Amino acid sequence: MEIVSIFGKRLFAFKYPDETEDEFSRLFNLWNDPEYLEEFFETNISDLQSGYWSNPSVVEAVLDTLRYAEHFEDILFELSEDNEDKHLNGLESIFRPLFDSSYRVLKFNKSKVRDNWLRLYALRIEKDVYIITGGAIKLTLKMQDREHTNIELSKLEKCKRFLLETGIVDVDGLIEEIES
Amino acid sequence: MKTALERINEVVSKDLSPWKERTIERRKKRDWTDRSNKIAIMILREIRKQKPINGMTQKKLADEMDVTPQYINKVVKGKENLTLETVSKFEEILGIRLLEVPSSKASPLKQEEVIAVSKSGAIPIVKYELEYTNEFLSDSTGKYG
Repeated sequence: MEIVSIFGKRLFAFKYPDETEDEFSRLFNLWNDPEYLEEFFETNISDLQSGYWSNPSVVEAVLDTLRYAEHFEDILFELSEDNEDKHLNGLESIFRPLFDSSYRVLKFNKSKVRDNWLRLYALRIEKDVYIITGGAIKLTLKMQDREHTNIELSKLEKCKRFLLETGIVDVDGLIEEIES
Repeated sequence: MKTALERINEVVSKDLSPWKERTIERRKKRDWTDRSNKIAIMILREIRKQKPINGMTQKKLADEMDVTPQYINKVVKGKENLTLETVSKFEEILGIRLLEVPSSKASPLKQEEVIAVSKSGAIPIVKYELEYTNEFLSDSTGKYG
C-alpha cells in the first residue's frame, strides 16, 4: 500500500497493491467513463429507481454523473491552483464528518466530500491533512446497505490500521488527543 | 517529535497522482467530449437493447464496422473524436439516429428533432440535448467556433 500526493502538501490518496493508480485518480477516471457508468447503473437499477433519488433513467443517471464529476473535479482543480492557505480552507469546507460525534474529537476523522451521489472517503489525519481511501456512487441511505459501499467502510478501517501499524499515526498520540 | 504529516511526507510516493494532469486534459477536450459521451451512451444502450435480439456486442459491432474492438471501446468511453463518416456508419449498422443538424439556423430545435430514434423506441435524452443545443445556438462566446 502506498501513499500518493494529489496536490499541495496536505492532500493524499492511498494506492492499493491490486490497483494501477491511486484511489483519487482511479475514481475520477471511472466517473468520467460512460461505459463504466452505464454498466454500474444498469446493475444497480433497482437502487437507482427506488425513490431515494428522483427515479432517474440509466441514461439520465450517466449524464448526471458525468456532470457531477465535472463539477466536482472543477472545484478540486481550482483548489489545486490556489495557494496553500486557500487549499486548507477549501479542503476543510468540503470534507465533512462521515459519522457523528466521537469521530469529530478523534484525531482520525472519517470524512467525505459530498456532491449528490458521488462520494470520496478520506481519513483526517490531523487538522487540514487528509488521505483519500476510496469513493463510491452512493444510491442507498446507509453504506452498509450495499456491498460496493460497504467495501469502502472496510477500506477506511484497513487504511486506519495501516497508518497505526506503520507508525505514521501514534496510538499514544491518539489517546492524548482524546484526553486533552 | 514528528507530526503525522511529517511522517507521511517521509513515506509518500515519489510519483505524484496523475489526477491533475488528466483533469487538465479532460478540461481541454470538454467541448467535444460532452457530445462524444452522449453518443457513447446511446451506442451502449442500443448494444444492450439489441443483444438479446441479434447478439450485438462491442466485438460484433467492430466486425460489422470493420474496425478493431479497441476502437469501439474508445468510442463507448467517449474518448474518440468521431468523424461524421464514422457516426453515419454507427447509425447505419445500429439503426439509430445519433446526430441531427437543425434545418434552420434561426429557429431552435423542436424537442422531437433531438430525440435519439431507434428501431425499438426513443432514448430519453431530450432535455440534455436541448440544454446543449440551446447553448450551441446562442454561442455568444464563440466557444463552438
